[in-house]
Formats: sequence, C-alpha cells, structure tokens
Amino acid sequence: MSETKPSLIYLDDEEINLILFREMFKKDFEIFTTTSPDDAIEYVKGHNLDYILTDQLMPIMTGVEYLKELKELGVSDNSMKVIISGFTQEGEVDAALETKLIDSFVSKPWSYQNLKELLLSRRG
Amino acid sequence: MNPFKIPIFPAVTSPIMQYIKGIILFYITFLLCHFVEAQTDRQKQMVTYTYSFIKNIEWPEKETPFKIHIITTDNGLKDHFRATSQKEVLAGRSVEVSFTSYVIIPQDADVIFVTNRYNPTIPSLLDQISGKSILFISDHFDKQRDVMINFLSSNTGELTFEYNRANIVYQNLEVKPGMRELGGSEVDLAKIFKQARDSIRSMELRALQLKARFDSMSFDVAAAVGIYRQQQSLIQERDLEIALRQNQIKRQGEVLDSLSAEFAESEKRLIDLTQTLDLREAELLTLGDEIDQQKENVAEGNRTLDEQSKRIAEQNDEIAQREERLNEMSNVVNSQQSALVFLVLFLVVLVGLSFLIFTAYRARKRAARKLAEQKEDLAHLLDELQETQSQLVQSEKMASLGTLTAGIAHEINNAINFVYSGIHVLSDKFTEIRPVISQVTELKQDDKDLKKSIEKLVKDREEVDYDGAQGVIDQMINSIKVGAERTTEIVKGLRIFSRSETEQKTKIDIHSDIDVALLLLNSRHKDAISINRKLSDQHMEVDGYKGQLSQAFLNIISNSIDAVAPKGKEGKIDIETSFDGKRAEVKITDNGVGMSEDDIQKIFDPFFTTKKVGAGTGLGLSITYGIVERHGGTIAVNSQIDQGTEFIIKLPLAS
Repeated sequence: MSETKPSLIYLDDEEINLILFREMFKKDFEIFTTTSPDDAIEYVKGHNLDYILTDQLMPIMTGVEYLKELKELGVSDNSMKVIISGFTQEGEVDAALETKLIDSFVSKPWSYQNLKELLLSRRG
Repeated sequence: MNPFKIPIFPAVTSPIMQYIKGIILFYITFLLCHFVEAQTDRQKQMVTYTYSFIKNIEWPEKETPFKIHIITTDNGLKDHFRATSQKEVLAGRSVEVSFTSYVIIPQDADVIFVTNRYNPTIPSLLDQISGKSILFISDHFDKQRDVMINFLSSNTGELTFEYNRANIVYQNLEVKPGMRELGGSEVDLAKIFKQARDSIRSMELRALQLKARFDSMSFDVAAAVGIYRQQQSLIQERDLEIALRQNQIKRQGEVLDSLSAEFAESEKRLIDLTQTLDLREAELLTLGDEIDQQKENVAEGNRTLDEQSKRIAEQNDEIAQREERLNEMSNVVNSQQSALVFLVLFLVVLVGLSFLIFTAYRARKRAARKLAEQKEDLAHLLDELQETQSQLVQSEKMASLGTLTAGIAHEINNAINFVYSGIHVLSDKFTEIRPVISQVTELKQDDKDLKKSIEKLVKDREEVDYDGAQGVIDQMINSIKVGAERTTEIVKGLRIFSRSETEQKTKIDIHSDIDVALLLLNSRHKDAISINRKLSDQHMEVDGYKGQLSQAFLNIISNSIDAVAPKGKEGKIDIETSFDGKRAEVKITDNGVGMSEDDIQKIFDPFFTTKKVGAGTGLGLSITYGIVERHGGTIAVNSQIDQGTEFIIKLPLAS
C-alpha cells in the first residue's frame, strides 16, 4: 500500500454522482470531485493528474468546453480524458473523440468493473 | 558544187595543193590530239582535286560507304573516277561513285559534283541539299555567293578552284586548314556582300519603279472601274426600260387578241340573228292566215256572248238573295266562334298551370334527395376531418416525443446511475461490516463471556469503521431513493404521450402539468438558460383531459427554449400563473429572438414553421391552440423582434 494511487478529478453537476463515484473508487484512486468547472480548472492547474473525468451536460459549460479550456491552458496534456454522460450519442462528443480531445466516452449508468478496467488499461 | 563539202577541203587536183592539204590535215590532227590530251589532263586534275577537297573537310561519322555522285555526260571524267575510286579511302570509309546524266540527288550522297553543262539547274539543286551535310562541287558556276567549291580556269587557262567557306559551314561541314594549301582561292565574302547589297538596291529601285507604275495603273483601273460602273448602271436603266416596253407590247397584244375574239363572236351572233329573222318572217306569214280565221270565230263568239249576258243577269239576282241569307248565318257562326276561342284559351292556361305545379313538385323532391346526400357527404367528411385531426395530434406527439427522447434518456440514465452505483457501494459496505453483524447475531443471552464478547465486538467495530460505514450506507440509501423517485417522475411525465383522445374529462392541476412539461424539457434547458417559475399560491384545477395541458405547455416552452438559444447564457424564460376570480392565467415570457408581425399572424396555422426543413413539424402551436380551445380557454401572443415573446393562456377553472 506504500505505492501511491493514481490521481483523478471528476467534474459533474450532480452531487450524488460524485458521492457514489468517491465511495466506489476511493480504494483505487486519489480522487478530487467538484460540481464547479472553475474549481476543477484551478485544481487541474495545480496538480499533475493521471485522469480527468467529466460529465458532458452541465449548466455553466459542457464537458467538451471544459476540456477545450484545459487544452488551451496546456495543463492536461498527459492526463487520460474521459467524458461520462447519460447521453448515448452526441455530436459534440463524437467530434471530440475524433479530434482526440478526449480518449474515451463512458455512458451512465457506469459499472464499477468496466470503468475501472477502462481507466487502468491506460496505465498498463 | 557540193554544198556539204567543208570549205577547207576544196576539191584540189594539183600536187602542191595535195601536199598543202596533207600538211593542214596533219596539223589539224596534231591540234586535235593535243586538245584531247589537254582535256584528259583536266579531267584527271578534277578527280584529284575532288579527292583532295574531300580530305580537307571534316565529315560527320558514318558507317556507310562514302558516296560521290557526279552529274555529267563526260565519259572521260566518268572513266577517271571509276579508275581511282577503288583505291581511295575517304574519311575512313570505302568509296562509292555513281553517275547520272540527269539531275538527281541520291540518298546518302556525301558529295555531288555537277559539270558545267548543268549549271542552270544548280539553284534548285542547292535548295534540295541545303543544310544536309552534302558537299557540292560545281564547274565554272558564276554565282560566287552560291558556290561551295567551284572549278575555274586561271588567266593562263590552267584548272584552279574557288571555295566559299560560309556555304560549306552552313552544310554542317568544316573546312580544314589544308584546303588553303591546295592552291585555290577563297571567295571574298565582302565582295559578295557588296554585290548582294548592290543587287538588293537595284531591286529596291526596281520595286519602287514598279510600285509607281502599279500606282498609276491602279489609278487608271479605278478610273476605268468608275466608267465601267456608270455604263453598267446605264445598261441597267436601259434594261429596265426595255423590260417596261416589252411588258407594254405584251399587254397590247393581249388586248388585241381579246378584241379579235369579240369581233369573231359578234360576227357569229349576227349570222344567228339573220337566220332567226328569216324564220320569224315565215311564222308571221302563217300567223296572218290564222288571224283571219279567228276573226270569223270572234264574230260568232260575240253572238253567243250576248245570250249568256242575259242569263248572267238572271243569275245575279238569285245570288243577291242567297247572299242575304248567308249574312244572317255568318252572324250566328261568329258568336259561336268567339265562345269556342275562350274555351280553348281556358284549357291551355289550365294545362300550363298543372304542368308548372308538377315540375315544381319534382324539383323539390330532387332537391330534398340531393340535400340528404350532401348531408351524408358532409357527415362523412366531418368524420374524416376528425380522424385526420386526431392523427395530426398523435403525429405531433410522436414528433415531440422524438425530439425529447434523447433528453429523457439522459435524465433516466443519470437517475438509474444513482440506483445502480448506490447498490454497488451499499453491498460493498455491507460486506465490510458483515463480521460485526455476524457476531451480533451469534451473541447468546446466556453467554458466559459476555463481557469478553462485547469487548471483541467493540474492537472489531472500530476496525471496520462501522460508524463511518453506517453513514455511507445512509447516504447510499438516499441516493437510491432519489434515483428511483426521479425515474418514476419522468415515466409519469411520459404518460401524456400514451393517452388517447377519447378519455373522460377529469380535474387537472395546472401547476403539476407545468412541472411535468419542465421535467421533460429538463435536459434541453439545463445546459444554459435560466427558467423562473412564479406560480400562484392558489390551487388551480380545470376540467380537462389528462396530459393535454402538459403537452400545450411543453410545446410553448420548447419554442421559448429555441427562441432564447442564440442569446446563450443571457437567455431567460419566466413562467407565471395568476387567478382573476374566474379564470386561471398562465404567462410564458422569454427574451429570445421574437417574431415579425407577419409570423405572429400565422403561428397557429398548421404546418407553419420558421425552423429549418425537418427540424419542426409546424404542428406544435396549432395543436396547442386546439388543446386550449377544447378546454374552453383562450391563447394570445405578444412579440417583438429581438425583444422576446409572451404567450398568455387563460383557462376557466373547474367549478
């Protein structure tokens, strides 16, 4: 257990999603969660993170917009970026996948096993 | 004297003369031999020179034999060439010599030698070989500027030559320095140039003279053409006149013809008349006889006439009597006739009237039948209309369902995620605290080591963070509850799409219908704009059909969301309800793009849409209008471009 856990940030406007995620993955990752995109951007600036997870449909900005901003700031180049959304398909997300702005897309409801496998596959 | 005898050999008889003749003959023979010998030397020299020329030229490399072609009739020259060609090797190639007595340039010829007999043909020959790596040798050709190598005779009569380096070079051949040592002379190019220039000048002069002559001639021609044209127009005029005259003559000829024809006819008629006249004369004679006879008959007739006149007078009296009687009778008849006319008239009117009545009766009967048919048609049409209307409503429902599906799926997936993930964490936590629970289960009332067991329990409890786990479990249960509730709400909202039109009226809560609409549109507005609900405290219920008012609100709010989309985060929608004692008022206001006066006039028309083709059905507001009307309400719109739009719906409350 002395080995440091991979670090992760998850942005979602639904507080319940954040609580569930934290409970589920607290053994596997060092997790920071927030419902505010501004807080998220500040946090990413100050930390070298392994994973950046975000919801897509949020009031202030969409997940794709948030990731675009991170990219423009040049603070997330080495992180694996994943969008988690209730939408099964969306034009903005498809385009983001195509342009490699995001590495993967996960639809809600997520499953512990699948999401963990997807995230850890990157480290292998 | 024999005219064919040569004068130097006159007929001689004396011995002296014979001797002199002998001497002369001998001398002539000697001269002739000497001439032949000189001639032979000259031919040999030409051949030798020719080979020397060839050797002093730089030739392009070739495999074929070196070909020299001589155009000549001089057999001596031919013999010499034939005699030497076998021995020579030129430019490393064996030599082939050919001869013709006519002008031709064989293929692959390297050298052409033309004896002076053919000098007039040289210019055209030069044209043909120009630039082809062929060396051209001429004999006493007088145009220095055209020659390449040309044999000449010196003042003392010896054979020499001249060559024009420029022309040889122009054939892509090069003259070696050795050429100069052969003894010939090189053509003075400057002189040639001067000659050429002089000749050009003289030609120019000549051209000028010719031009002057040409000008004067063209002037003459112009004058002649002028005269020619005048005469031609004169000729044309004459021709016209002639044509005119000819026409006149022709017409007069025609008149003459018709006149003579008329004349012939008159003559014929005259003859006929004469004949008829003769016939009449004969008839007249017979008639005269007949008249005499009839005169007698008339006299006899007159007598009979007198007798009959008497008888007629008698009869006249009788007739007068009868007439009187007749008059009486006709009076009676007249009165009877007028009665009859009256009767007939009456009958006609009667028949006409009954006919009119009959037709009117039939027309009425037919109209009644037609009316019944039309009524039936109308009823049928009404049925169809109602059918179509309900289909339209259903299809609009389906269309809005389509646009909402993705958003609703998003909402449901989020809610399901609460349940799904909650259960996962719950079961994890439960596994963690299971040992503690097991211990509690195993605890017996008569446990002798109760204290010990309790101590262990407390220790284990701390180890598994039992209290922390309990907090998490509470949280998870709450998450699952929220997820389940949300799902239920959404599904409840979706029910409005499954209701049919034929339902019974029930009491409908306006506020809850507004909430259902907002719930279904949640994923569409969440993203950016703000929606403010200012609902009245009053509980407002109307008599209506389940789900319909929800659909009406949904249609309007959905349009509002589209209208404010271009404003981004500034977009705002207000939903306000109020009560004026009789009717509930729902006001939906947005600060979107607004509409023009023209568009406002049409928004409730079916199929009117300002959206892109395929983006909207154009049925939403038309159906909304129908729904509000069905609930006994009214709907009004105010809008201004770039300011926003306001929909005001008034509905009578349930009693």
